[in-house]
Formats: sequence, structure tokens, C-alpha cells
Amino acid sequence: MTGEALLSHFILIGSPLSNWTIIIGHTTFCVTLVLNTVVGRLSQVTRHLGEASADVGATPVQTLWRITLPLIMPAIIAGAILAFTLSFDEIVVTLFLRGRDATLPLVIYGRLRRGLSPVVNAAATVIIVTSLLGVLLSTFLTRRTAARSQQS
Amino acid sequence: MINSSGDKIRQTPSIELRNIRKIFGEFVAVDDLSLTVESGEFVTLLGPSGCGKTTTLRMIGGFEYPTSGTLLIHGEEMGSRPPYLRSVNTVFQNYALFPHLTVGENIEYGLQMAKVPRDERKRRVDEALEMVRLPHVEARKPSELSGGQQQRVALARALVNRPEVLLLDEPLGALDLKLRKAMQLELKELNREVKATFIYVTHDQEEALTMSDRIAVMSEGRILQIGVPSEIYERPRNRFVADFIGQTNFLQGEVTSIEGTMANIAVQGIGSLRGRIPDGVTATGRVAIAVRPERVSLQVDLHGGTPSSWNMISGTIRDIVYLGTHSQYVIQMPDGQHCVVHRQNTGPVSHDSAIGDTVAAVFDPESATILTY
Repeated sequence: MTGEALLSHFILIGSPLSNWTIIIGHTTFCVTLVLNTVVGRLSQVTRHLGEASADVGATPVQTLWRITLPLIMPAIIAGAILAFTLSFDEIVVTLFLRGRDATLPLVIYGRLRRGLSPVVNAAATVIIVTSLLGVLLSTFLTRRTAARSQQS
Repeated sequence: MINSSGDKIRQTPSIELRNIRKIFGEFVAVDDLSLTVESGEFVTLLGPSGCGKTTTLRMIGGFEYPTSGTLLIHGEEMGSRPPYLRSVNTVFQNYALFPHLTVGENIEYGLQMAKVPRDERKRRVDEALEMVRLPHVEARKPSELSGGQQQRVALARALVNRPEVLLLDEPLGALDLKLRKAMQLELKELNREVKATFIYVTHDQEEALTMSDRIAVMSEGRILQIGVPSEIYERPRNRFVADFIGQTNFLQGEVTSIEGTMANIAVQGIGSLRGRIPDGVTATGRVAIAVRPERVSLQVDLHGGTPSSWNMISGTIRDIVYLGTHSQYVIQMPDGQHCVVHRQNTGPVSHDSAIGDTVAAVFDPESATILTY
């Protein structure tokens, strides 16, 4: 669905398909993911701490830099890793949006049709392991941010 | 304050609120509130949840801006000046300590913002920790401290900046009773020591009575009465204040006559009772005589006899509750009303009265206030 929608959009604005359309397409769904992870943590806690920071003399910029960012950094990294992982894995939307170049998953997918080869196996393993590690790391960091929020 | 020519001059008040209103959508949180606080005073905003006390405090701190009205701190109009530009510091209800910084870093944070050099920062942090009686914890993280310790760190973080005004938003709520009582006295001492104006918000009337120079009793966005603790307690001006602070008996009756500042009330089945009319109250028709339980005595306990001017009510004992320092006697009067008497337990509990006995209770008319409905 996403692929179709994005493709229709690009056709509508007359944009030729290329690496850039792949990037834009991936960014769309990645952004929603990161927002969910990060903004969920940007909550009451940061508001209270932000007030405490302003109370003792910090400007909004100082508060952002010294208090808010350090606290949500784990969540930001988590979101980034998750976004990378999903993008890395992505085939369907990419198929819709590709120009002339292909992404790695696409190449593997293509090669799969001609029969398996060690290269394909190896590449697939790397993808799976990376994805798994990515998700695990992302979850761990999200939990850590949540725990920090609980403390204050 | 006396100036060089020896004349008494008025000091600029520390805080002035003039006709402050704060409206959230449809809800009027603070309604035409005016208040003047002198430098160094310990003023408590006391009232039930939702009365607007915290909103008022937040407006002084700059976390909310008034919908209308003027707010001045040390003579300067604040307008919509943000918190980081006000010489006001706050101790928050939930402490709001920065979890990723150590205790020392938490406290010196404000000093860093003010670009205080490192040596002086270190000195002042140590000083602040001494002041709140919490030395040697600079290196720890807030999560490693107990609730009481965290509360002191929050206090230190505020005081280290030597603010003109310290705002405290129910800071002792999460502490156990003993610790709370100890902290109340410490806060009072700190107020004298640092000479800053303290504005304290609480719903605990005992706390207010313990610490404050003056108490402002609030309800529904307005100040109902403001005065020194004894005044608030002994001379409440309306039912809400009388009821909110301590325990009060409200005996209903009709005004029969007025003699100067005293009024005579006819209470069914009892006869006539006398009480004081407070300023600003018109005593007519149905009123209530308000008298504190500790001002009412059982006639048998007055060994020197009852003064003739005193009021007397008689009834039957409905209940006796033993409360350690005193016992609470609930007396039912002929017309169904109740009067609670505090009988001090100065000796072992006496067994001279039992539930069902008829007793006479007496009190001085000067201790009774006439309040309207």
C-alpha cells in the first residue's frame, strides 16, 4: 500500500524514479517509527525537568542541550537503529520506487529467482543478523530511556 | 526599615499580586486575587485541591502567565518574563531532580547557568548541602537517595542560587510524619537564616500553622482570609475558614439581640448563647455559633466553678473517643445538634462519664464566633 501510494505521488508530480525516490520513500515510514519511539518518551517528565531547568536560570536552548537531549538520546539512537534496520530490510516499497540502481535486498531478491548461491546465502545471513541486532539494541535503548524517565 | 534621617520608610514588598486572574479555557483557576508579601516573610497558601494555590505559585515562578492583573516581584512588573529571568527559585512537589546528573551537578546547575567560576561553585554547593544537612553526597545520583534526601537536594538546588523568593509546592507530601515535622521546623529556620521570602503551598492546615508568618486561606480561586496563624485559627471570618482549619463546632440558632460586638443567639432546647461578631459580618436571622472543641469544657472539670457569663449547653454523651493527648466527647443536644468537647487527658483516663450520661458543657462567649451561612 505504502509503495503504491508513494509511487502514485511521484508519478503525479512528474518525478523520475531514482535512488532519491527510494530514499524519500524510506524516510517517510522511518520518520513515523522514530517519532513513535522518541516522542513517546518526550513526556511529562521532560516537561517537569524542563521547568526545573528554567527555574534555576537555563534558557530553552540550554535546557534542550543539557537536559532534554541527554535524556532522550537513547531513544533517538534507538529510533535511528530501528529505522536503519527496517530500511535495510525493505523490498516491497523499494521495488515500487527504484530507478536504475538497486539496493542490496533487491539484488538478493533478484538473484533468488535464478537459484541459490553462497553469495546470496551469506548476504541473507548478514541481513538477518544485522536486523536482529538492530531491533535488540533499539529495544534495549528504549527501555533504558523509559527507566531513566521513571526515576525522576 | 529606618533610613539615614531616622525616618521609617516602607520597604518595597517582595511580591505583589494585584487583581490576578487565570483562566484555563472555561475554568477560572484564580479569580481576582490580590496579595502583598513583605521581604523575608513566610506566607502559606492554604486550601483544598483545586483552590488555585498551585496555579498562583506557578504564576509567581513564571511557569504560567496571568490572564489579567499585575504581578510584581521586588517592585518590578514581571509580565510574561520567563522563569529563567526571575530571581525566584522553586522546590517542586516531585523534586524534579535531573536523573542523569549527580547531586553535586544538580545543585551547581543553576550556578553554571549564571557563569559562576568553578571554585566558587564548589564552595557554594558544599555550603548548600551543609545548610540542608546533607553533606558528602555530591557524587551520588538522585536515584540512589531516599525520598527525604532527594527533597533536601531539591531544596539545596534552589537555595544555592540565593534567590529573593523561594517557592515551595507541597514539598513535604511524600515524607513520613516524623520527617515531615522535622523538615517543617528546618524550613522555618532556613527562612530566617537566608532571609528570603518563602511562599509555601499546602493543603495541610497543621503544616501551615506550624511554619507560617501569615496564612492565606484559599478556595475556588480566591483568598477568603489572610492573617497570622492565631488570627486565622481563633478569628475565622467565615464558615469555610473555620471548618478548614482545625475542628469547629457549628451550633445553629437565631439572632435575638446584639450588644456591641456580641450577639445573643437562641438555640432550640438550649436557650440563649452569646458569641462575638467578627468584623464585616452582619448578625441577623439564622447564624451559626462557631467554637473550637478545646474551648469547650465539661462543667465537672471546672473546679473553680463556671463564670456566670459563660454559655452552657447540656445534652447526652453520644460518643467518647480516646486520642492519646485528649479525649473527644460528642454531646448530642436536645434539638439534635452535636457539640464536640476536647477533654485533656492530664491524668489517667477518668471513668466518671459514660455514653448516655447527661452532661453540661460550658464555654466563654469570647471564644465563640458568630458566622453567617
